[in-house]
This record gives sequence, C-alpha cells and structure tokens, in this order.
Amino acid sequence: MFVSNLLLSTLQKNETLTEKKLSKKELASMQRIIISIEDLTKRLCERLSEGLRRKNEALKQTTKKEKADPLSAMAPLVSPIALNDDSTALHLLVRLGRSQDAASAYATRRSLLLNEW
Amino acid sequence: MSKEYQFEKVTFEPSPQNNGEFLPQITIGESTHRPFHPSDMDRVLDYDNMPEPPPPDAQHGHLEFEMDDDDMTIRDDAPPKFPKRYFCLRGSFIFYYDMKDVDNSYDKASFDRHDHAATFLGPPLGVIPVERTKVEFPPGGRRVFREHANTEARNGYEMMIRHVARAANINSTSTSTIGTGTQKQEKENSAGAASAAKRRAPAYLVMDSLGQREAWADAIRFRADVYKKDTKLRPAGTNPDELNMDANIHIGAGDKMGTDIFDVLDPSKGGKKGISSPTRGEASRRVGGEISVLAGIIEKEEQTDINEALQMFGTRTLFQEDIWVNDFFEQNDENEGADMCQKFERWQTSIKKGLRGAVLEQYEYFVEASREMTVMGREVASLKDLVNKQVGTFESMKRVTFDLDFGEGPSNGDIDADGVGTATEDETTRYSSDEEDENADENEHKSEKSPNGKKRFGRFRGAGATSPLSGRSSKKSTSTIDIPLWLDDVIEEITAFVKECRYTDATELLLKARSEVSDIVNLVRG
Repeated sequence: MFVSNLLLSTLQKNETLTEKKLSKKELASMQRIIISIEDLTKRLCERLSEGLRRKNEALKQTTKKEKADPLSAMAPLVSPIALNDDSTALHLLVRLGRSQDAASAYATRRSLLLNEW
Repeated sequence: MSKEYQFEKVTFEPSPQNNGEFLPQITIGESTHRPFHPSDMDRVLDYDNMPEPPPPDAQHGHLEFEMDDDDMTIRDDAPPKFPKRYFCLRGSFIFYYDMKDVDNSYDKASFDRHDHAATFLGPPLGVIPVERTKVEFPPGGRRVFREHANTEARNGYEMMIRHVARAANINSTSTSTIGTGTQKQEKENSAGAASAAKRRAPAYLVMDSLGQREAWADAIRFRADVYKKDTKLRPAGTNPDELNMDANIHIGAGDKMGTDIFDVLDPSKGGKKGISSPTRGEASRRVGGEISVLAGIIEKEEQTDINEALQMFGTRTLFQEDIWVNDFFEQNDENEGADMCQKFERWQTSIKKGLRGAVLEQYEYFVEASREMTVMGREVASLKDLVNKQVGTFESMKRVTFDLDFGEGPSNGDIDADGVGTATEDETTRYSSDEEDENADENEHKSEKSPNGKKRFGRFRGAGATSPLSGRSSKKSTSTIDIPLWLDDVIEEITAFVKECRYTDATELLLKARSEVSDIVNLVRG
C-alpha cells in the first residue's frame, strides 16, 4: 500500500540524521496523520465500492423483475442503468488508487447495460 | 616610667651565629630596641582580626644545623637535625624555645589554648617571621622533603615556611628597618643572586600529625597575608588576664568588641588594678584591653583620678553646674575651691587621655572596616563579573540548536512544542474570528467550508517564509521542517466530509493532505 510505504519511509528517514528533521512532537503528529489518512482512504473506498455494488445489484434485480413482467414491452426504451450515475464514484475510486474496485464496478455496470440491450 | 607611652612591638634581627635564623627583639617607638625578655612572651599579642586564634603552642621539630667550634659558622659536614622546640605563633612571628626553657607543667584538665599557661624561663632561641611567606608541603603528598628523608623528620609531617621577597623597592625597604633580612645568609643558596640574598632562609618545621600541620599552615597563611602590621605587646604591667583571673572573670575572645566610653575610662583596661566603677558591671570591664596602648598608658594616679571622677559624676544622668557648686560650697570652705579646681583639671587631663585612646581605637576600627569594605567591594565586583559571564553563558546555551539530536533534543523539542502551541492558538483564534464574521446560515457555511478551508490553507502556505510547506511562523531555523497547521485538523475535516457523503470534497482534501505529507517526507529524506 502507498500509505504504508509512506509511513515506513517516514519512520526510516526519521531515524537517519539529515539536515532536515522533525521534532518528536512533529514526528508523532505526522505518524498520526499518516495512519488516519490510511484509515480514511480505506473507509472512503469501501463506501464508494459498496455503494456501487449495491446500486449494480439493485439494477440487476430490477432488470430481472422487468424481464419477468409481461408488460415489460411497455417499459421505456432507455433503462435507468444507462444513466451515467456512477461516473463520480468510479472517478474517485481511481483517484484513491482503487482501480481494481473501480474496474469491477464498471464491468458489472457495463454487463447490465449490455444485457439491457 | 615615661609619661608618654610608646608602642612596643616585636621585630627581629639576624642571629649573630649567622646560621640563617633570627632573634626577636622589642622595638620601642621607632628606633629604640631592647632584647626579648622571657616575660615579654606573655605580652605578645596576636592579630585581633584573625578568623581564628592561633593554634595551641606545641612542640615541633625544627631544622637546625650543628655549628662549628667557634659557634659562628655552620659546619660543612653538618647533617640537618630536627630537635624538638616549643613553638608559639603570635602575630607575624613564630617563637621557638628550647624545651628546658619552657615550663608547661600546667593543669592540662583546665588548659585552654587561649590562655598561655606555659611559663617561659628563658628567651626564645629564635623567631620565624611569617610576613610575606608561603607555606609549602612536600610535593607528591610525601611526609617530608626529599633532602630530609634520611633525618628524624621522616617520623613526622614536614612543612616549609619560605620567604617571598618583593621584587620592587626591596632595596629601599631592606635598609630602612631592622629585620628585613639584608644580612641573612642563604643556606641553600649561599652563592645566589642579589635578589636571592634578600630573601630570608626558609624554615622547616616537623609536626607530629597531619592535622597539626594543616592547622599551623592555615594559621600561618592567614598571618602571612597581613602586610606591614606590627606585632604589638600588651602594655607593661599586670596581664589583664591575670586581673580577670583574680576577679574570677573569664575573658572571652569575642569580648574585645563593643567598647564604650565607660570601658575607656575603666581602670582595668590600663593594665593596672584600680577601683571598679560603681556604675558598670563586671562584664563591661572586660572589653577593650588595648585602648591605652593606642593613646598611651594610664598611670596609677590617673586611674585613681578617673575612678574618683566616675564615682562623683558617673552616676549622674543630669548634671547641673550651679547646683553642684552650691552644694560644694555649702559643704566646704571657700578656700577649698582652688584645690578642687586643680583636682578637676587633673581629672580632665586623665579623662582626655582615655578618650584619646577610645578615639584612636574607633579610628582603627574604622580603618579596618574600610579595608574590609574595600575587599568586599572587590569581591562583589568579581561576583558581578561572574554573574555576567554566567548570564552570557546561559544566553549562548539558549541559542544552541541541537541539530544532530534528531527529534530527541529536549530543549529544541520544547521550543518546537511551544511554538506549535502558540501558533495553534493564534490560528485557532483567527479561525474562530473568521467563522464569526461569516453570517451565513449553517448549510451555507457547510457548503462553503471546503472552499474556505482551501483558501485558509492556501493563505497558511503562503505565509511561510522559507519553506513552500510552511504554514507557521518563520522564526524557526531552516534546518527544521514546518508542518502546516491545517494538517492538524485535516483528519477531522475529511471525516466530516465522509459522514456527510461529500466524497468528492473528502477525496480532494485527502489527496491534498497526502501530497503534503509526501512533501514533508521528501524533505526529511533530504
């Protein structure tokens, strides 16, 4: 993980005598901030991923219901899953370094979209 | 005895045996000399401003050389000897006696070292002047000097009293007074230079114990530092100590201070017995034993006059001349007035003499006090310099930055901690004031919080003087890393954004914080 590497790097460099230095309190503050950032990143990515997963699952269930309904021919041509409502979450996931999660969510949505057509 | 009292002081002259030793003599006034009598020893006074009385008289070994048959020169092959002598330290002299001339069969149970209980049957063998001398011990902590290692001195603890001659004006002073040592022979430096010839020969003493050597050395050092002060003799007559012993009064060492006019007029101060003052207690008569020394000795008749005057006028708190005269002529014939006038004039002369002594004593105290204050002034000045140096040292120590103490330096850490605390308070105040200035509703405030935060962060970053990351005061040295203050609150802000499902703001702030931390880490990498 990037943050873990960053944390280890910070600790290692702090043990090395260089011209620039951190005081003891600053070092503790930096460690706390790095750990908190890692926790927040993880929580944020889980929320985004979970939101995308729930939304895709709901769309999947809706599609099944629509297919089972004989009156589905009366449904609108354009399905809600075709809307670009997950672009922000996917974008944030990519920025947060969770490209794999973003790719999975995007593939699921893409499959649903293809099934719709 | 002469009416005019003249000082008696101890001086010394080189021994006629020309062996480097000195003989004491009594100098009366300025130019009259007489030999030192056995009875003079009891009258020799120690300095009165010494921190401690002289050490008790004791037997020590003294370096002496066997003389030739003519008793005038030292034998060439004479080995050094350390016969036992009886030593007495008084003022600037150490007297030493042959043991057979000293009767110290005193009652040891009641022996007080302040009482010179030993009786001297003969004059001293010699005297060691301690003025301008240095006391030296054998080097390396040895008991004796190397040249005396094969003598009986090795059974004791040896010390040397070495004369330190003044480099300047020694010629002028050496010929002016007796006993300055121009005719001395140097035993060790017989063919020495002229300056060496001015020096007195060193004296070697061997003590029985280490503590005794230390005590004597300290006492000699104190007295060696006193320059040009005479070693006086108590005025001839009965020893005041004996007077007080007769009266069963013990004289304390500290009783010499606090003399007043009644003590001056007291006949016991003059060294002779007189009638006690009816107005003063016994204790008041103990003080001021040297007053008459300064102004001249008070004769017996004068003491009688003073006592009569004290009896007649001493008890009167209020004296009125006319009443006294009326009473006098009521009780006496008219022709007795002239005799009474002569009597009063004689009394007045006697009292003036005593008063002169008191004034001289006060003047002496004043001189001593001035000298002490001068010394104190120098000491205070030196203390002031010392304090200034310490203040400078503290200031320089405060400016020290422990760069090599990476994050562990207590002083630097404390300074940083203080700096952070101060800056945090300042920024918190600014933050709250900014919030108070905003009069928008809460939703609006929330929606604007992120941009405000960004602006604020940007302003903090711009405030940094040297570092691009600097968000706090630029007073720190360039070797330290300035951590932006907003990093302290960034975790709470991101958490708030996440709770509000404002993931975009949260992500932007999180990435920004991560970038900042990365920069700091890169700076640490150096």
